[in-house]
Amino acid sequence: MKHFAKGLFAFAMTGVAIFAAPAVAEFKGLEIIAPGGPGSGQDQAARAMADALAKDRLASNVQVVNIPGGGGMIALSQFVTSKENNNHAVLTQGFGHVIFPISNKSPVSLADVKPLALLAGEYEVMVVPADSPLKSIDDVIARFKADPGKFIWGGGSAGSTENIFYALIAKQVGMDPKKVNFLPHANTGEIITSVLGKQVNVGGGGYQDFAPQIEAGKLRIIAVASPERLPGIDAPTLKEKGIDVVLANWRGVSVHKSLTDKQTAEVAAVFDQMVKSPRWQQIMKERGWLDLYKPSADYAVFLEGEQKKVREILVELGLAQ
Amino acid sequence: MGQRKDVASAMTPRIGEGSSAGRKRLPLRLSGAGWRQAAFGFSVFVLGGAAAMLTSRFPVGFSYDSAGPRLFPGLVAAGLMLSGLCAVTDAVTSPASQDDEEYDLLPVALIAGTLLVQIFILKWAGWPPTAAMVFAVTAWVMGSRNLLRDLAIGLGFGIVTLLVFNVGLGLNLPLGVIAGLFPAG
Amino acid sequence: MDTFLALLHGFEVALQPLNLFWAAVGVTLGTAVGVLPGIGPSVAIALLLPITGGLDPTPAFIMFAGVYYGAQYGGSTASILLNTPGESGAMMTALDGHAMARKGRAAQALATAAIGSFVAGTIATIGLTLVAPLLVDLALLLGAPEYFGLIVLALAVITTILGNSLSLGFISLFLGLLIGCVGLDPQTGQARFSFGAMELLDGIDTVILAIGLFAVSEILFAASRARYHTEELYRLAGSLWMSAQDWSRSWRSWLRGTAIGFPLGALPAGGSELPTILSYTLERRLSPHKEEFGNGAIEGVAGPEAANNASAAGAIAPLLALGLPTSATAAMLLAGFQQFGIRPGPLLFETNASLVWGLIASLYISNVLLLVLNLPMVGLWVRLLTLPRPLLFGGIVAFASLGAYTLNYNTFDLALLFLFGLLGFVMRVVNAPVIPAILGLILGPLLEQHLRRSLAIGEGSPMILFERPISCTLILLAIVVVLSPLAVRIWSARADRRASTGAA
Repeated sequence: MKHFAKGLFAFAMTGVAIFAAPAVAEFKGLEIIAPGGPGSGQDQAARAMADALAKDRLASNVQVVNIPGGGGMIALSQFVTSKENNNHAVLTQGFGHVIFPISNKSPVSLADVKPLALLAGEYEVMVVPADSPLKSIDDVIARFKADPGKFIWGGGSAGSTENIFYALIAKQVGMDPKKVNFLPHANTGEIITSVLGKQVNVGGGGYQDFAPQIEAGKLRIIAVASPERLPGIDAPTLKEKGIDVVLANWRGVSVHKSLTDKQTAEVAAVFDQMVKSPRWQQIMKERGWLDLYKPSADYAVFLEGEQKKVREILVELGLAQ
Repeated sequence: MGQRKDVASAMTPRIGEGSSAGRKRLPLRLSGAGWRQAAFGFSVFVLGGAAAMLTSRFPVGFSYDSAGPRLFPGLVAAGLMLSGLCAVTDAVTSPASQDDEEYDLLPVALIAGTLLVQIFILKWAGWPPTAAMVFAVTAWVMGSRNLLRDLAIGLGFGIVTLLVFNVGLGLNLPLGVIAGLFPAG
Repeated sequence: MDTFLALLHGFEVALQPLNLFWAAVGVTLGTAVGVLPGIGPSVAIALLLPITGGLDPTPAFIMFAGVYYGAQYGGSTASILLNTPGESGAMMTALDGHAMARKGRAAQALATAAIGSFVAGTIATIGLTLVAPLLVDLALLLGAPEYFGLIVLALAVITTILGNSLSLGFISLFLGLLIGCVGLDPQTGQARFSFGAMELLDGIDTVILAIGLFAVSEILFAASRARYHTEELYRLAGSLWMSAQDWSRSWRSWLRGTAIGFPLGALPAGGSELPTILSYTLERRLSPHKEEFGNGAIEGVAGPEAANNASAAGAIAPLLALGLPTSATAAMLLAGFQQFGIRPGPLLFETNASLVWGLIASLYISNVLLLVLNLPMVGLWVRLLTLPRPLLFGGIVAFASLGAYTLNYNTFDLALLFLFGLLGFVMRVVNAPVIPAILGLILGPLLEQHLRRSLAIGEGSPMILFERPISCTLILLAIVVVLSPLAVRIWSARADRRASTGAA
């Protein structure tokens, strides 16, 4: 009798387990390699992915591995040498990793990995102090053209997104990009301080970096480098003002070049599911990220476009190696 | 710096500066300390020269960056060469010192050697055995004669920290030889 | 009055038993994290963020505040006991703190550090409540030329404490400055002195240089002298308590350190080392016991510790007043705010008053907790130093290796540790001071970057430095500081000569 009860119980449990199983088979074991230390932008993106994948049960045993340093190239290089034939490892990357190998003699670049998916990002915005006499991008361009040396643009270090941003704008309005008086800063906090303290005329970065200041009325957005106006942001795009500059700080993932099509498709499916999942949507909303999703083939094309754009402008700036 | 040094050197003691009130003479034999300082100063001078050469190959700054990437390292290289020379002249123009210190270099080589070896074995052996080696070798060099006990202490330290970092904090100390115990990717 | 009531309410929140528990957890975690060189409070908070997702924001932030202050204290403890500064802000403490430990006065060093931190933290927290927005408005006035002036002043003050041999002192300083040039140049994005190594592109971390030059080299040096000269190190000299003289020498340093640390900590580009560097050099200049510095002068611990803690509190000011993170840890706190859906910014005091005041109150409570939990532990910590020397040194070297590796999880840093350990050994053999090298590494990059940014603002002309009042004043002050000892000596030499000729 006892045995019978046990057997029935086991049978019932198995039944429950089968019916309770998730509709999509969980991807067992995934390493997300983040080319940045804990707390950095890449790390935050990686952990957000891990969070979403785990919460929505798309993958189990997801681990984030931090490999900081060398502008992301150390992580890239280690990924290439150690993850051959391993489709349970992905590498996160961002726009900065397109720029870095071009402005520095790096033995590795994103061409050494296979693009898997473009996920999310933010478009560059230009801000001024709320009481600045600059009311629109036209004012900015006019002041810049009148006396380039005296007009100071603030952003990250040389070769940062802002550096590229301002150079592209200068080129579009017919000025030599080298004439942009770019003032580098170590981090966003310094940029905000510079703008608020009027040490620079304009600042640049992602919208989220400036959102609290904008909402408090201390900073004002002059323009956004997006293809169309963004909801919730009351500022024109550069495009509608006749300056064709679209620039985003995006995040994506790549896999090892040695993977077969089948292996690639397996792991691509996981991320394809992730971007549709409720937890990912929620995270994006919390962080203010935009859905820029592109699957593998489109991502590869996108990357080529970014590389070309960056190389052209860096050569003109004299920063290309 | 020249003028200040003259004023300062009148006030501050140099290596084994004695009571001689007369002019300084070049001694016939340098003290051990004098040789060491001279060698150090000369090495620094050479280092400064190398730095200056490397700096000259840096690109020039552009547009409004009038100082450029060269100015600062160039000044530093010059400073190294100048202060290196001053150290040599100080050493050579000082009278021989009274008691010289002796240094036993073998223990230094052993401990430094361990630090060097750990660079190569860390990833392969994992952190706990490496910690055991570093701890035990240093302790042995400094006089401990209970090698087994020291290896055990070092190993224990390594294991505890490994658990704290990898399991507790989710970071990645190398597992090395015990990697087989952890099936995760 | 409003502010005061709000603060009281904040205390009410922070003193609830559950929140006190979280504060205690944070403080303990923070101390442990602070002791380890490879992990800082910013990393700790980054790792804690996902775990605290389920909590209410108030207890989570109370824990973060505990981690923040606890890390400062842990860093100092490691500095004093092991000569391995766990935080960059604890580097100055290692100088005289560890020297005191070597003389058997570790307990007094730990005590003055703990009490000084407490005093500084209390005053700074009050300062936060009262003047945060004002402080931030002042901070915004400073641009690259002013920061340049500040650093020039700091360097000028440092050159007056280079030790007996000027040439060796300058060598040390220039070595540090050279190491600071390694890496990517932020103005041009070009690599300097990196020899193709990717690991060097981010420059060399001060912590690695400090651990190599302080702890490892000291052990190598002791190893080389062991045969000839066994020092009686670390024997506890008498009581564990601070003597009356210790107290009387410390309390002014605590206050001065706070006065320096708090405003400088609120400066966005200040960094955590500048306040402690300035405090140390100030204490040395003002002290009647100058010769003791470097050998265990208690002011050399009291001042920088207070400055460190006060600047940690000051760094919170821009975060609370403007939503501006001015350090890695502040950035993590900001991420924490965002995780809970709170937008820190100029409106934070209005939209989330109870959280903010609870946070400020919990900063204070963490301070008290640190003192209460750690002072009795002093006796325990100090026991660590009575371990037989071989075991203690073995432990320090193993610990230093752990710290070096966990900076970047790269064996490259172990190679740097090896190199700097040997360099420090050589420097000790020739009697070159080690501190100027660290100071050079810290201040060099700051000096260069602010200079070049100033030049950019001035369109290539250095005149901008003198056109702006604050920077001009700072630079002139620096010149005065460097020349005045010289002038005094010349003048007194002349006076002596006149007196002697007059008497003849």
